[in-house]
Amino acid sequence: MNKKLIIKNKIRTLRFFADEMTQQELAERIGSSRQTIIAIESGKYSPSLEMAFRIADVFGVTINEVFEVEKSFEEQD
Amino acid sequence: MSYHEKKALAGLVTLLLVVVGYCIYAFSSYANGNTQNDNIKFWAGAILLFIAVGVIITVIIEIVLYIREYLKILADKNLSKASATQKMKTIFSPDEMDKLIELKTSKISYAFTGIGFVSAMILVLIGFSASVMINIIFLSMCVGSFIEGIAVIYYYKVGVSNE
Repeated sequence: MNKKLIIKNKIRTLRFFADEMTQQELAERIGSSRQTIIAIESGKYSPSLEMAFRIADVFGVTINEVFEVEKSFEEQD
Repeated sequence: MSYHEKKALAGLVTLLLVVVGYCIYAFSSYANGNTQNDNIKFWAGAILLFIAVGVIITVIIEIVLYIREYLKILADKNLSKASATQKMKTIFSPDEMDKLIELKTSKISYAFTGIGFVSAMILVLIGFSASVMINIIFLSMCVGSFIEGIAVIYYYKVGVSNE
């Protein structure tokens, strides 16, 4: 039995408070594409730990302030 | 639609054109009796010809897509050429999500090609001709690439997980 984690993020809010930083600008600063930022923001893709740290670094916050586990449920193997 | 999705879609259309073209060419040759009993050279030549046509069309489409994207960036943002080139690098160099999608979809393509290869060998063993084998291998490669293209578009639309 594994726990399936649902990871939420606050990138949209953090972008808003960073002078409405664009997705393109964030993508350029972390060395990624805008498509990937859109996927992360909408929860369609969970980034690697390295990318998560880079995103947190851009906003000057900790990784916990960007990503959080909303809920988890049991998943059968 | 992102650049990668457009590229995958263009690849699908190209593949479809190549397969349809190949089928028309192969069937008409077969109907005209040009393919003598198990003429492996004919089939090898036909397949190589259509692979070459597919590669040329793909290269042309990629160049057109690149230029289109470049002009779009220049027009939209009123950027200098250096900044536009930098933006293009961000778009074109694959990041971790692109690599994950590529990894997952190439697995699907390899699986189809592998199944086609094994099926072709089995058919030869049970008495089918070498031309059947070569056609099944080619068509399984095409089906694998087609499903890979669909999977790429699906993953970009729906998302991809690390599992």
